[in-house]
Amino acid sequence: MNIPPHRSPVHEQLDSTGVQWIDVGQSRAVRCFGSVEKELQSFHDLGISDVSCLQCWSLKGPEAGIWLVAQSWQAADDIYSSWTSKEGLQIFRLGKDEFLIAAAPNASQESLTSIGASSMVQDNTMLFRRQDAVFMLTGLRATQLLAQTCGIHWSTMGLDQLVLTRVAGVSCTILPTERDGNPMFRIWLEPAYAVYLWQQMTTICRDLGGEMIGLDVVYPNWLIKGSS
Amino acid sequence: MKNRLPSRPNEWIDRNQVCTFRFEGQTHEGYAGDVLASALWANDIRFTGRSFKYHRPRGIYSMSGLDVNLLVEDRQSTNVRGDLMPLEDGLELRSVNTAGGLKYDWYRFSQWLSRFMPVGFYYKAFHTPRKLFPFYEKQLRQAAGLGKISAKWSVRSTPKEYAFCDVLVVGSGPSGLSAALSAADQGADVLLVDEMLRSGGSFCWQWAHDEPAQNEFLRLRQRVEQHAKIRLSLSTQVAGWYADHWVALVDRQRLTKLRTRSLIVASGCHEQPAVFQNNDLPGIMLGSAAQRLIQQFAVRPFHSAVVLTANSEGYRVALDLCHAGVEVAAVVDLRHDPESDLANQVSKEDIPIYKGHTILEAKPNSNGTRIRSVLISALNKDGQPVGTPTQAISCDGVAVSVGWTPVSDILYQSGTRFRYDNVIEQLVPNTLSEGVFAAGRVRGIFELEDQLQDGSCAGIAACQYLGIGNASVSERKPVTGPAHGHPYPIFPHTGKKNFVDFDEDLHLADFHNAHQEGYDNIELLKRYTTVGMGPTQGKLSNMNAVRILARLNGKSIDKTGTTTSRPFHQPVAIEHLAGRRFHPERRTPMHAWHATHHATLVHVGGGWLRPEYYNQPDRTRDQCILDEAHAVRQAVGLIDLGTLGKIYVHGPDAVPFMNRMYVGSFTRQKEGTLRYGVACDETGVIIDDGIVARLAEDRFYLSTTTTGAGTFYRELQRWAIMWKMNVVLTNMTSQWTAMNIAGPKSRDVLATVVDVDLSSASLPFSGACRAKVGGVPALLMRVGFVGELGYEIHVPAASGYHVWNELMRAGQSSDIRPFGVEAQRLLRLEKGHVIVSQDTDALTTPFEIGLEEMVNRKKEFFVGQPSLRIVGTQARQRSLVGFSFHPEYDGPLPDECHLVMHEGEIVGRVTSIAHRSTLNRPIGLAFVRPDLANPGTAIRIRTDNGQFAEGQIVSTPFYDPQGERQTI
Repeated sequence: MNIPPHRSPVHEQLDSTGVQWIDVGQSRAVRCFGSVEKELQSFHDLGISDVSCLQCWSLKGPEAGIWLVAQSWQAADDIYSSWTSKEGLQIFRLGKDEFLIAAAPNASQESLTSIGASSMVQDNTMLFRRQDAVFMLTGLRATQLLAQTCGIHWSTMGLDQLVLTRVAGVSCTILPTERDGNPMFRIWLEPAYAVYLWQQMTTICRDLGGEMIGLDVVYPNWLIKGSS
Repeated sequence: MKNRLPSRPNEWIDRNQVCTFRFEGQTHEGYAGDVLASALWANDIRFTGRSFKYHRPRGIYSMSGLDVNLLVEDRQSTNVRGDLMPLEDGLELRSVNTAGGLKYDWYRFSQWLSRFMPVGFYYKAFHTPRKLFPFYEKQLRQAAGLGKISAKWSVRSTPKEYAFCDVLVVGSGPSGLSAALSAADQGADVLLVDEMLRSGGSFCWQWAHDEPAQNEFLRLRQRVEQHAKIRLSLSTQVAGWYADHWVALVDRQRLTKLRTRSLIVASGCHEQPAVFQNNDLPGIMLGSAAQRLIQQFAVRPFHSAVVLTANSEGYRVALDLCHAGVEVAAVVDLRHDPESDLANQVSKEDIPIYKGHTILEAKPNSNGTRIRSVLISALNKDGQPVGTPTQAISCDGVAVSVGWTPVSDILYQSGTRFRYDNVIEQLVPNTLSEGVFAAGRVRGIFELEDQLQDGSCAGIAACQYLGIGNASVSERKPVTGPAHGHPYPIFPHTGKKNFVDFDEDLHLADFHNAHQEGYDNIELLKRYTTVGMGPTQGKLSNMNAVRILARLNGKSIDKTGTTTSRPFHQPVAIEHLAGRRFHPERRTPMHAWHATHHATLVHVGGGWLRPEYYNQPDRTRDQCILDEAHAVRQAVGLIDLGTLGKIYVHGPDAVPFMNRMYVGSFTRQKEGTLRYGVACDETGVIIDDGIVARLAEDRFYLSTTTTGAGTFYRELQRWAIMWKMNVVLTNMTSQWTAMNIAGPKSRDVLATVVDVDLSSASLPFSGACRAKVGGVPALLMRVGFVGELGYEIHVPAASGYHVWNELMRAGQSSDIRPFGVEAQRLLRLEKGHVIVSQDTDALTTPFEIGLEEMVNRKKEFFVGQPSLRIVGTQARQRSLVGFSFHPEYDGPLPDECHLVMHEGEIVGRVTSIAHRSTLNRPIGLAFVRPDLANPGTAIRIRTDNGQFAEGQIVSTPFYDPQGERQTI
C-alpha cells in the first residue's frame, strides 16, 4: 500500500492558490507561495514558514547518553545546548536524560533512515519520531512578532541555545539562529496546537507587514541539492 | 481661528496642514499638531463639556489630561480626553454625558436641584421602598455616567507586547532627558517614555520663553534622539507598576508589558486648583494650561485675564500672557510677601498686583458658559478672607497657579513613602523602593539648573544600582524653598459652587458634611464623598481633600495621610486591556476531515476540539446523534479518539510503578492484553481511568481521559520522582492519534486495511497487537467501550488523516459512518460505563460506582489505598445506579444534575441521561442513597419546572448485559 507523505499539521492552512508543493523525504512542504522575490524580501524583513518537514526525534531514558555514544554521537554538557553530528543532526540536551534530535536540512538521508529504523524502546531508552509542527520565523523584525506573543528578552539569549517558553499560550521550544546576519527562530510545538498557533502568528505577521514564505527562500541550498 | 496667535518659534502645530473636524455638529478648522482642545479654543469654543453630576458648563482646565471637561466620543471610542487627542482631518466628535447635545442638555437643570443632592444623597434617599430601587437605579445610571459603549462599534484587536530595558525613565522633561542621557552614557539600555505628544515636559511651556533653556532643550533632545542606547516612546503612559519592576505601558495602539531592571520617575508635578466660588467656569484654567495653549499651540487663552497665584510660576504665567497679547487685569497673590524679582518684572508691565488677596468668587455670564469678572478679597495672616469682597475685576479668564503636587502614582505603587515638606508645601518622596529613583520636580526640585543636575544624578544612581558603568553619584540636591505651593488655597463661600473635585462635582460643603457625619479618615472620606474616584483619579482634587480633612481634624498632612494609588492610574481603553485574545485550542489530525464532513465541533477538556455529531440534511441534532448510534449498533462507525491521553511507561520498575498508580494489579497482566485501569488520589477519590495495554515485560501504554491527560501525566511524573523508581514516562498525547472503529462489521472493514489476523483467536477481546493499518505502523487494541465489537487504532499523528481516510474508504460498502462524542456518550451509557468527571465528582470513590472489584486488596500499596481501607469500613453514603423510564412514558424527563427526591428529601442526583436511546426508552445514571439502589425501586426526579419524573431503578448494563456483542 502506498503511504502518502507526512502531512504538515497546518497542511490546510498552507493550501492556497498558487502554492507550490515539494516532497522532502517523507514529508510534503511548501516550496513557495507565489513570488520568490517577494518572499525573499519577507525572509529578510519578516517571514514565517512551515518547516514541519524537518524531522526530529525524542530520546529519553537513563541510558540515553549511552545510546548516543553507541551511535558515535555526543551529548552536550549543558542543558539547552547542542552538539551537531557530521551527518547533520543537531542533538539538544533537554534534561539529564532527555534529548531532542533535530535534522538539519543538510542531514544525510542515510542518517535519517538509520535513526528512523531504530527501535522505539530499547535498553531503558525511548526513541521516537516526533510529530511536532515546526515553524521558522525569519527577518530583522521577527522579534517584533515574538514580542506580541511571548515574554522572552531575545537580545539576551544566545544563538543556538534552546529556549522553552510559551508563544500565544502554547508551550514551544525555540531555537534562535541566524544566517548571514538574518535572524531565524525555529519553533517546535506539539502538532495539536499547530493550526491555532499558525493562525495567530500569520495574523500578527501580516499586521506587521510580513508574509508566509516557502522553503525556496528559507533553505535555498537544500532544494538546489534536489531533496525531492 | 480667531484666537490663534502669530507663529511662535517652538510651536507644535503645522500651519501648512489644515484639519477640518466637527464637534457637536459644528464644523471647525485646526492644524495638524493641534490637540482637540487647542483647536476648539483657537476657534473660541470655550464651552466644551458638562460636569458629571450637575451638568454644569465646563471648559479647558489642565491641557494635560487631568480633567474631564472635554471628554468626547466618535463612532469607535468614547471617553477620549480632548486635551490629549491629536487633531485629525475628518474627525466627527460629540461631548459625552449629555442628553440632547452639549448646549441643550436635558440634564442641565439638575444644577438647580443641587441642594437636594448633597454628597451621599442616594444612600439615604433611595433605599426605601425597596421595590422602587430598580427604578431609581435606572434613572441614576442614565443621568450619571460618562460615555456609552455601542454594540454597533467594530471590534478592534489591539496588540499586547512584551518589552525590556535596563532603565525606564518616566517623563521627558528636563530631569527625565538628563537622567536618560546619563544612564545611557554609562551603557544602560534606556527606555524614555512620556504621555505627551512631544518630549520636553516643562521645557515646552514653562521655559518656552527662555532662550538659554530652549537651547539646552534642543541640545538634550538631539542627543536623546541620536543616542543608540535610548528608545523614546511618546504618547505613552506608564499606567501601572507591579512587583519585580513589571510596568504597564499604554500607548494609542497597544498595552506593553515592560520588564525594567530599574525605574527613574521624573514625571514632574501636576498644577493644583484653588477652591473659590464658581471656580469651574469655562475660562478658568491652570496657569500651566494657559502656558501650554500659548507656547505649544499658539492659542491665546484669554483676552483679559486675572492671575491667581501663590508662587513664582504665577508671575511667569502673567508675563507669558502679557507677551501673548493678553491684557492681564491683575495678579492676585495669596501671599503677603512674594519674591520681588518677578513681581518687579510684572509691575513693569503695568499689571496691578494684589498681595495677600484671593479670588472669592467668579461671576458668570447669563448662561454660565463664560466668566465675566472676579470678586477679590484681602486675606488675613491665617490666609482666610477678611470680610466682604473688596473689588470686582472684569476679565474673561483666570489663570490659577497656587501650587503643585507630584505625579506620584507610579512611585506610590512601587512602594515609595512620601512626606509632606512644610518648606515647599508639597509631598516629596521619603523612602524609595529598591531600584526606584526619583528626579526633578517630583522630588521637590523646581529650578531648571537643579532639575538637570538632579536627573543626571538619578541616571548615574540607577546605573550604579545595576552595576553598569563606573561613574559615581554626586550628592543629590536637598529640597529647599521658597514654597511653590500654598498650604490652603481653599476659600469657603455660601454659594456652594466652590468645587474641590471637578470630576465628581464635589464642593467644599460636601467635605464639611461628610466630616460631620463621622467620615474623618481619608480612606472613608474618599469612599463616602467619592472624591478622587472619577476618571482622573483625583489628580486635581486629592491634595486639596487631604488639606481640608487635615484642617477639619486639626492634624498635619502627614498625620492625615493620602489615599492609595492603584493601577491603572490613568484611563485605559478596554480594548487595550482585552488586547489580542489568545485562547489556545487543540485539533486532532483528522480535524480537517470532520470540518469538510459537516461536523459540529465542540470544546472538550484539555483545550481540544472534537466532533459532537455530524450534521445530516433535514435531520435534527438529536436525530443525527441517534442515527450515528444506530449505525454503530447495526453496522460500523468510526470515531476520532485523538483527544485521549496516551502515555508510555517503561523501565525495570514499570510493573511495580503501575501497581502503585492504579487500584488494580498488573503483575499478572500478559503481554498483548488490555486492562481497565482506575487511578485514585491519596484520599481514594477517582482521578482518572483508561485502558492499559501491556506491550512487553517492562512496557505499558496507557490511555487516559481527555480532560485528565495533562494532570495525570504530571501525577505519574511526581510519584515516579518521589518513589525514585526506574521508569521512563513519555507523554504521546499529541504525538500519536487514535480512532475507534466499532460495530458488528468493524472487523470486516478493518481486516481490509491491516496486515494481521483479526480473528478472535488471534486478537481476542481485551487483546492488543502491533499492526500496519493502511501501511502505517499502528497499535491495535480490541475494546468494547461502546458495547460492540471494536478496535482502537493508535498511529503517529502525521499519519492519522491518512489512516482515517483509509478506514472510511474501506467501510463504504459496509455503510460505515463517523460518529461523534454525543453518540459515544449514549452508547457507553447504554453499556453502563461511567465517564470519570461526569459520573464521578471530587468525592467519588471506586466503591460508590460499582468498581469494588477493581480494587486489589492484596497489594501492599497503591495511591489512595490507606484512605480506601478506611472508607471501606464505613457505611456507604451513595451508590451509582441505572434508571430508566417505560417506553410509553410521556411525563417530564430530567436532565443531568437534577435531584433525586424521596419522601421530600434529596437523596441523589442524575449524572448522565439520554432522553432517546437505541433501546427506545430514556435511560440514565444517578447517585442515590444505598437503601434506594435496588433494581425495581421507583425513582422520583425533580425537573427544572418543579414537576417530577417518575422512573425506575434498573440494573446495568442496559444493553447486552452479558457482553456478547463485544466478544464475538
